[in-house]
This record gives sequence, C-alpha cells and structure tokens, in this order.
Amino acid sequence: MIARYTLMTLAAASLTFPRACAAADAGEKTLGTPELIAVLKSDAALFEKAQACRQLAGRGAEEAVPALAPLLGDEKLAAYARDALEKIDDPAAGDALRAALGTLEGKLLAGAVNSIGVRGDAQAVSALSALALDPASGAAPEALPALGRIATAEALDVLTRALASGPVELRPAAAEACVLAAERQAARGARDVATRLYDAVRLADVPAPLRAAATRGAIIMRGSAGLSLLFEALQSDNDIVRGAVLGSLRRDLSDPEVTRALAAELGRLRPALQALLIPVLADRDEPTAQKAVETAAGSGTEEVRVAALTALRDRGGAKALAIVAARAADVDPRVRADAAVVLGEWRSVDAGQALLALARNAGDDQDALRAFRALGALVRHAESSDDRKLALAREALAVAESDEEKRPLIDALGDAGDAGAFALLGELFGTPSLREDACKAAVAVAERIVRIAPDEVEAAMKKVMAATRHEDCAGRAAKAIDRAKEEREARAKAK
Amino acid sequence: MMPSIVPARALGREGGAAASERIVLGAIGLGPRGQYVLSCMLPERDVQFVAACDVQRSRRERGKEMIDERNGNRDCALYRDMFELLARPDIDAVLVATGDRWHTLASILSAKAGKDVYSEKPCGLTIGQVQDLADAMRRMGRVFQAGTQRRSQRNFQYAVELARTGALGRLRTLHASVYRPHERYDWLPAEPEPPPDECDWDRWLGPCPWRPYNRAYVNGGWRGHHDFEAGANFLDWGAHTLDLCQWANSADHTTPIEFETGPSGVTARYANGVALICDFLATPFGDRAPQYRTSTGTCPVRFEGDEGWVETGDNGEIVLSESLAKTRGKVFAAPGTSAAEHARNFFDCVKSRGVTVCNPEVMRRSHIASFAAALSWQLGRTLVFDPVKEEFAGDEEANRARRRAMREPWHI
Repeated sequence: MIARYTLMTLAAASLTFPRACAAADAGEKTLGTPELIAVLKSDAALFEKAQACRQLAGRGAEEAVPALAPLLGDEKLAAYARDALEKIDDPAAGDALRAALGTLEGKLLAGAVNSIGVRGDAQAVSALSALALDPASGAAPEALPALGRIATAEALDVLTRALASGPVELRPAAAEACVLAAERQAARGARDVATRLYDAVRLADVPAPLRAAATRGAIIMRGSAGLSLLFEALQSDNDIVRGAVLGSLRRDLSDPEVTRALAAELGRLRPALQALLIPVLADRDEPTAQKAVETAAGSGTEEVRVAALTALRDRGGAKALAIVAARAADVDPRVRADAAVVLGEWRSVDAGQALLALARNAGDDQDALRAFRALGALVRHAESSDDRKLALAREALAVAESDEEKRPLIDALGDAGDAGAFALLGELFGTPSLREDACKAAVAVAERIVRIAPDEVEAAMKKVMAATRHEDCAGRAAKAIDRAKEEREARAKAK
Repeated sequence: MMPSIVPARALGREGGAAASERIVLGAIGLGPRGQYVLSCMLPERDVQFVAACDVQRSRRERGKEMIDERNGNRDCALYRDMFELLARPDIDAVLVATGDRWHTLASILSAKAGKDVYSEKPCGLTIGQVQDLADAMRRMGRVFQAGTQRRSQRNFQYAVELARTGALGRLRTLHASVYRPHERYDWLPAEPEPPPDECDWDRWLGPCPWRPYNRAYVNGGWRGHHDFEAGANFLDWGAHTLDLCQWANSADHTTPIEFETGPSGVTARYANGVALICDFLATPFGDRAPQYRTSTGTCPVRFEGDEGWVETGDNGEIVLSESLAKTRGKVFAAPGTSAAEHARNFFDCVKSRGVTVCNPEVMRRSHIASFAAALSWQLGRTLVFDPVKEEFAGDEEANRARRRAMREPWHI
C-alpha cells in the first residue's frame, strides 16, 4: 500500500507541476526495485503497474523478470513489460520471452517475437523458425524480420528457404528479413554472404521496393565490379528500382571508377536518364565527370542542357560560372536563353558581370531583355548582401535603355529588404512611364522593413505620396508612415 | 556545399507541369500542423495530392476539402487506415504529420511501400527510432526530408554561412533556444471510446503503450505526455535550433560529446571544442530576453566566434556584432517560417533523386543531439556520448532510454 500511495503521489505531482529537473522528482527516487516488483505482484491498478514497468525499464535487473513475465499475457500491460524485458541484459529476460512463445497467441505473441528480435536472441532461432514458416502461427510476419535481425547461419538458412519456397504470402516479409540479414552480414565483414542474400531478393518475385533495396545493396557490395548491374538498374522500367539506385549513386557510390564509367556512358543513355545523372557527376571532382557536364551544357537536347546548366549553378564557383557565361553567348539561341536564365539563378551576385556583359553586347532586343530579366532575378534571389545587390541593380539600371528592360529591375527592388532600395527607386519617380511601378515597389519595401527602419520608411513614403497619382498607392504609403511613427514611439517607450 | 536557395518556380519556368512530371502525394496525419504543411505544398505546380488519411474523421475530411479545392474536383480519397493509402501504386510520396508517436513508423512503412517521405519533426520518440528511420531510408533508397524547415529559411542560412565560412572567426559558442522541458507520466481520466470511424483510438495510439481514451489526447493534449512527445518537449524547438547549430558547426556527421544539465539550460560540448548552449526560455512566445533579443522572433539562435557574432530568429531580423556589421553592411530580413521552400527542396529531390537539405543523416544527428540534451535534463546529470557508437559512456540508464518497445503488433 505504501508503494501504491507513492506512485499515485508521483502521478499527481507530475500532473500539476513542471519540474526544474526530471531527476529532482523525489517521488521517482522513493521506489526501489523491490517496491516496484511488489507493485507488479499486487492488485495495484493498471496505471500503477504500468509506471512500475516504466521505472524497471530504466533500472530493473534479473530479479524483476519473474514479476514482468506474467504481464506478457496482459493486453494492456504487455508492451510496458516488454519494454523492461528488452532492456534487462540478463539471460533470464530472454528465457522469459522465449517461454512466452509457447503460451501466447495473436498480437501478444507477435509482441514477444518482436522483443526477441530486438534483443537479437540467437537461442530463439529454432522457435522463431517454426513460427516463420507457418502462416497459421499468427506471428510469421514478425518472426521473419526477427530472424533477419538475429542473422545467424541457421537463421539465414530459414530465411532463404522462406524466400525461395515458403508460402507466397510470406515472401515479402522473408525478402525484407533477408535484406536486414544482409546488412548485418556486411557489417560483420561477410560481403559474399550479404551479396548472395541481396541477389536472392532482387531476383525474387517480391514487391518492387524490396527488389530496389536488394539491388542497391547488391551494387554497393560489388563496388566497381558491379557496374554492369548498376547500368542495368539505371535503365530499369521500374521507377522505384531506378530511383533507389540513383539515390544510392548520390550517397553510397563515390568510387572514382564508377564515376569515370558513368561519365563515359552518359552520352549513350536516353536524355531523361542523362538529366538525372548529370547532377551526380557535377558533384564529383573527377575531371572526366566535370568534362561530361560541361559538354552536356551545350547539348542540343533541352532536357540534358538544362540539367547540366542547373548542375553547374548548384556546384557554383568561378569555373562553373565561366562555363555557363560562355554558353550564354552560344551561337544557338536556345542555349543562350537557358544559360541566361541559369545565370539569373546564381547563388551570389558574382554572375552579375556576365549578365551585364550580355546586356551590353546583346545582338537583339530579345537577348537584351532576357539579360535584364535574369539580372532582376539575381537581384531578387542572390544570397549576397543587400549592398552588393543594390550596387548591381544600380549598374543594371544605368545600362538599361527601355522601360521594358528596367521593369524587371524595379520589380526586383520591390522585393528588397533594405532601405537602400528607396534611393534607386526614387530616381525613377521622375520618369512618368515608370513612376507608378517605382512608387509601388517602394511601398512594398516600406511595408516590409518599417519595423527595422522607420526613419528611412517615413522619408521615402513622403516622396511616394508626392509622386504617385494612384490613390491606393498613396494610401498604403500613408499607412506605412503611421506604422513608422508607431514603431518610433514604441522604441522610445522601451528606452 | 550550401544548398541553392533559388526556388524552381522563381526561374521563369512557370506554368503547370505535365501529368508525367507531377508528383502524386498522399497526406497522413491532418491535424493543425498537417493542414499547415499541406497548405504550403498544395500551391506547387508539379504536385498533386490525391489522398487524405487520418484516424480522426473530422481531420481527414478537412484535408480532403483542402485538396479538392486545390484540384477543382471531389476526387480526393479518404482513408482511416494508412495501409490502404500506401497500397496505392499511383502515389509517389507522402506527407507524414501524425504527431510524434507515429512519425517514425509511418515514415518507414511508407518507404517500404516505395514512397518518398516528408515527415514533420520530431521524426521519432527516441534515439533508437531516429536511428531506425535513417537506416530504413538508406536501405530502401527513398528520398526523405525532415520537417526542420528553418534550414530552408534565408535568414538562418545566412547566419549559418557566416559561421561556416569563418566570418565570425574561430567558432566558440552556439546558442539554441528551447522550451523549458517538462513531461508527465499520468493518465487522463478514462472516457468512453468513440466509434472507430469517428476516432480510431487503437490506431491513434499505434506503437505507444496502451492507456485509456480521453478526448484531450486526440485534440492536441498529447503534448507533454512522456509516451507521446519526444524528449520532454525539448525537441519541439530543439529539433530546429540544435539542427541549425549542428549545421553552423559543420557537424552534420556527428554530435556533441558531452551534455551537462543546469537550471537554465543544457550545455553541450563538441569534440572540436565548440560549446552548444541550449537555453531554456521561460516565455518562449513572449519576452525572450536576456538570452536573446525578443525582436528576432521565436526559435532564435546565436552563433559566437572570436571575431563576431550573429543572432536571428523567425522574425527574420539578423543582428550582427558591431565589428561584423561594419564589414557586412546591412543584411536582408526574411521573416516567416513557411515550409514552402523546404517542401520545394523535397519535391526537387523526389524528381532528381537528390539529397535533401534535411536528409536522414542530418536528421539523425541533430535529433540525437536533442535527445541526448533532453536526457541529461531528465536524468539530472552530465552525460558523455560517443557519436560513433551512438551510445552513452558508462551510463546504463541513459543507454536504456535510447529505445522503447513498440506496442504489439507494431515493429520496425
């Protein structure tokens, strides 16, 4: 009864008061293992037994096992008891779980099997094998992965039999278990065993995600000796298999020999696959990979070209920028167009000079307009400081000749987060055809930064109110002025 | 390499996507957070949601409304059982936003069904779950994005870049804001279970141990309960802010090696000498001083080096030390915590089979760091951690807390 009272006190305390530190909760410390065991053996309520199990999961040992074992048959408490048994590093816990296999049914049996798998209990292989090969056991889908986690030679034998000739409905679970076992074998250095397991699964009649996992594993195990399998998988008709292998190329297959083979093969693959492989190659420092990407950037196939230009953008750096800038002056207008767009997407304003050169030297109005649109995109999105972006915008506005060329830059300035944009936009208030665009952009900036720069906002919005002919714009400017005043007052109060 | 922040839709390539280029999705878990992330994903031109799944009828029906409105039809299918949704071969990817207790299992089941996964954070309830999740994603070759979307926010990216590129000098101290941790072990009073079609309580509990139904749990009151919420509430912000600190310290491949709890926070130390201070905030949505400038907004972080510091938060304001402000000039403000850019990164990677910014390995390490810090507080002692073995040194109780058994018949 003392134990019962203490646990209830603990519950009430934790319900009411947040603790400065969990371990400072005196209630938890009052119960030692003997008291917790006593709770489990008593007629205590479910809650109290559940909490006793929880605490035993933290620090229980062999002596707690006899009190925990009977709860494996309790639908409401079995999970609590198993949590403790999984963590008690004593053979008695394993004995209790194995013994329960002969008495439990349904979900509770499945639960015990799962816990045995978590514990990696090699002594349970025989009992698990019987469950795994019998669909009527009720726990075959759990027993198979449990065997996969244990992954002893005896377990592997059962799994490969289940995969090859076991009940059809259990083959997906057998396949998953084989993949789990292959991982464990590979971790133990048995790559040949792992490869055989992966091969068995990838060639079996099992769902595509499992074949994909096995194909990925089989390629990794083989390393550079698995190139033919790699190319076969990359050209698979199955999206899931192809996707898994492509992902693996990104993450797992960095062998230079694999990279060189991919680079050599690239041009012979269908364009859609080339487009997917180009970013992989662009991430590699291998010269053959970089050359392949550079060549692809001038491809006559749009899909391939855009993939290469975008991959160069993502790689970044002076060399990649020079390649894309050269393509922006290509003789092929399609290549020029795609390259200009990509320059506008560059991460920093470093691409600005290349775009300004394009704008200055454009052969026709279309090329020029494309360059200014890209400059606008760069001013809007580049990660560089606002000072640098505004300097680029100023330079671009000076080069732009027509209103159409200036508008992308005005739009971009409207997205600026810095008061420096006001000066540039204010210079356009005197151009009647651009005045309203510039006023609108200035108001957008003001609304965004009014809390950060109230003084600059107020000054700029007064100029907007004097310039604009649009009531809506003037109204928004007036509101921005009001908010700027409020912000100043708030700051004054805070001081 | 830092990720590109240029969204595809900003590239002048606007317009609808051909059906063959569309990513077909299902949503699993449609509570307030799920609905919010869904609202960020729906506008993407190359995305089409076709299925809504939740164990609560009202939530799945709300999800269907949102999806149908976007699609201009009434075709979105409703599911109570996620296995039915996952069995659909036309679905390429899923949004998992179920609540912490289901994130790992739903994500792994999705990967086993051949789906790519965007999962809300925290992505698991324990260290063991996030390890299993990362392993499963790699094993199955699926694309995964953890919903720690601040990695895709410009202001946080800017601050991280300053730290990573040496602009702050030698990095010394990283500050991550977190809630003051709290957790409870009680059961709410039992109430009659609703009909399963209304709310399937057994499925709601999923892998968590049994307890009696109470409507508060399924209406968001699960928060704070040990069985349902990750790391004593530490990960609600910690999954974001520690993630950013990991990134700033170029530590995506590792974790701190020591965690020391104290009254105002947990101090962790990396092998490279950098300190990570997890500051408990008394009023995270109110005054965040003195640890942080309240003006920078919620979820603030601060990175300090020998030559300067930077602080930013959800309001987008970036505050620089005086010396840094002189050389950097004014920097932009990028307010908001929209998940749209983060989702875009996921969709781009689904197409390219690329590596997401919050990929499984990044998630694994930042979540483990958060769990270890939380555990230091929960146990009230300093913990030493081995980032390679991913285990605590000489502390069996801490090591036991890395995992919890799943309620039968659930398993990974």
